[in-house]
Amino acid sequence: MSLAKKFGVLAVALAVSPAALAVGSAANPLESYNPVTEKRLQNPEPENWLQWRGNYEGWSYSPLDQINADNIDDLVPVWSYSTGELEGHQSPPIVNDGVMFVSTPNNQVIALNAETGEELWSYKKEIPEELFQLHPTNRGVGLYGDKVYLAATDACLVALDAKTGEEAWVTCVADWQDGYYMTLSPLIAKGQVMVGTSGGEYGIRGHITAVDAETGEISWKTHTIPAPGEPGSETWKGDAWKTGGGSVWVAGTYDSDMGVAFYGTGNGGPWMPDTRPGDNLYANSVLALDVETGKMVGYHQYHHNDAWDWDEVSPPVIIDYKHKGKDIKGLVHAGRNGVLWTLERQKDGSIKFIDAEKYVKQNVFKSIDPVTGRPTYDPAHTPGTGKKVTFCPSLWGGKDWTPEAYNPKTGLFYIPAHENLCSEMGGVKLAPRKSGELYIGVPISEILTNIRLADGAEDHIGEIQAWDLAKGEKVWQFNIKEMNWGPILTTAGNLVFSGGSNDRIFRALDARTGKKLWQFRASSGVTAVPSSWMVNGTQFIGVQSGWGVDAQRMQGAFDAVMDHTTKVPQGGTINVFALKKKASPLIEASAN
Amino acid sequence: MTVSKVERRNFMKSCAGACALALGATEGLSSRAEAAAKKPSLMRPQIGDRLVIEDGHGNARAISASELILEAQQVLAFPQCPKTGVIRSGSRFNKVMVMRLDPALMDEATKKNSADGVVAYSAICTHQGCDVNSFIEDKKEFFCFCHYSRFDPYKAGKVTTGPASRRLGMLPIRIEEDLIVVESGFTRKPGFKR
Repeated sequence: MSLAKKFGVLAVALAVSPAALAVGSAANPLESYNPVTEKRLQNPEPENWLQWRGNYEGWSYSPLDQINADNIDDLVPVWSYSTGELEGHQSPPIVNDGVMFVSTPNNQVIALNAETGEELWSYKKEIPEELFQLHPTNRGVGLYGDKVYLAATDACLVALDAKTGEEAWVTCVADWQDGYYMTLSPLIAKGQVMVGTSGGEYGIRGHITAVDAETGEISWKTHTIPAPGEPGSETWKGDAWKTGGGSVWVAGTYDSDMGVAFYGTGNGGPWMPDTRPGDNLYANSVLALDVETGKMVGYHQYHHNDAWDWDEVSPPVIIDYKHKGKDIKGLVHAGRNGVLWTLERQKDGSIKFIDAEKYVKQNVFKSIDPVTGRPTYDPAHTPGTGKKVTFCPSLWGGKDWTPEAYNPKTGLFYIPAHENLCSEMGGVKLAPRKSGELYIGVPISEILTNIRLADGAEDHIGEIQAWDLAKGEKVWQFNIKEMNWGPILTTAGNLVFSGGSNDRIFRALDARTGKKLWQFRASSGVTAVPSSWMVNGTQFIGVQSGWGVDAQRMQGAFDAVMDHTTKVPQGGTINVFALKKKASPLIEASAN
Repeated sequence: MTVSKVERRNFMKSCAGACALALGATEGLSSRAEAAAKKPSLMRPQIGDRLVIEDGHGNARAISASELILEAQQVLAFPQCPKTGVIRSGSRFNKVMVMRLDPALMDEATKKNSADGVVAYSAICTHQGCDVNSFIEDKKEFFCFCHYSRFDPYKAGKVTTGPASRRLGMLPIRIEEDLIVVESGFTRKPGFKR
């Protein structure tokens, strides 16, 4: 229940209190809320950040340049806001004409004045007491019309009134008691709100569901693992498809000209490949879906019969560019399997393999077919039931869920990477699946201590890499001592913003050279997507801090194999920055 | 060793009355009326329930005390109504860890709720509700894989390493004909605060 609903007039009165009127030139930006249309999502105004990666293409790029590489020294905090939640904060501030919507762990949405930090309303979904899952986080709300959409951990999609935070409708797309949950940001196109389900460690069968944005009715549901008789089912044996995984926990990208969404899928389940012989379509793949019907019009499987927990849930970034001298309608994906994949969108929706290049140490793929992109595996680095081996990159991959970014001004593609990191892992005989219980086939104790360090780890593990896609070459890299779980924002001010390290640093680099220009030490580690927006002529940079989920787990694994214990404090905060000359009046106004 | 095949749906039908009447000093239920309104499979452990290993498909095996080896990995179990056979696995908050310890090393609270060295603890982490399903042998501590909280089984589930701040609840037990039987309700509400 929203606070506005709970306290009625009182909450409304607070939202337009004299304090709120004093600090912002717009009294309450909700009074003139600007509905989000598909046209606006296709061509977002530079001053807004309307979806979790800024645009349909997944660029994480802001065209604003008031804050730039020449004046970044003057970037200062303007306001902050404590979310009241522990665990991993991963979502960006999403901003529509001065109204910010932020989601947090525990299924909370907070609406704020994006200029002043004044709270406008907050909402928290009531979740079943017994629900627990491995990734209590959220990666951002979706905006459409006058509604705000939240994919909740009880596998229900919630539509909120953007002005009040009151529930408009709730549609459940799966059964949380059977291990399904949701953490991703919804993708919205053609009036459909599309969400996917997590739960790959619980023996689920993944799917993507489209829900009518207005009515909450389910329009279509497309499973990522085919049932017998469906195309791709020949790549499964017996009943393995029923628990085949292929979870979808990151929002897709979208080609609005084609009307096609591109979704990445998780690994097959359970983890060991011998438990599900075959290629296991469409796990570890990118799927092209017609958003009106849900029909799969194309796919590319990055690697078959996964053995390494290498989810490929990050969708490919849509970039049209000249690749090694040839114009392509590109799909670019830095794979968890350690390979930078270049694919091409075809007119009929199918996906063509173009190129592949390892961007971190990778000892599993012996070759990649130059025509199909299909890899061959080194059995010495392929685990199985009763077969423990080492492999690189680690089970968290060259890059996990953390989004890349593309800057059309520099022409560079930025990857938050883990280098010099490997795993040792093997499976044990599976006990029968119990609904809602872990169904992995690898002992938890082994997962917690899986990390093995490769040569070079003593120097660094985390990296931000910048790639010139046209040449297929890495241009620069910025090193971080230990992990990097930092999603990337890049701007027309020739800047790259990112956190991700266990020292709580949120940093700005020169997007052209990788030189560090600025940093801020937050109250907790920064694993959320940064964003940028403008209100009343002031450009803002915003990011949530709040360490948890897999960053925290990797820290635990590091502490288990390295000779140290690192404490990263938890607790979520929204941090907002602007240039000092712009920030000062706002800070002074809020003090009065 | 007792092996029973249980068709859970049938048991739920037949057990509705009997198990409601069997309600004793059950922790976590505010009233008898509230408890009676619950399905038997959802009810917290009842006095006289026995602890069984369940495979998720209605197959249950009663745990015998004599099969438990000193300080060996904990066994995950659920309570089962002996009269009806209903396994109370409808609520994961009923999941318990069963283990044999050295009585000489137990503190008084642990000893009070144990039987012949056997203890039963809530398997739900008090931090964020993950399953506590690991045991660190050299430290003799229960371990939660989600956030690495640790609990001392010899000190009534006391937290030894956070982030959890609340100890695990114990399920007091007795041994009857080598079976592990519930003596009373959980010593504290299982679960966590969101």
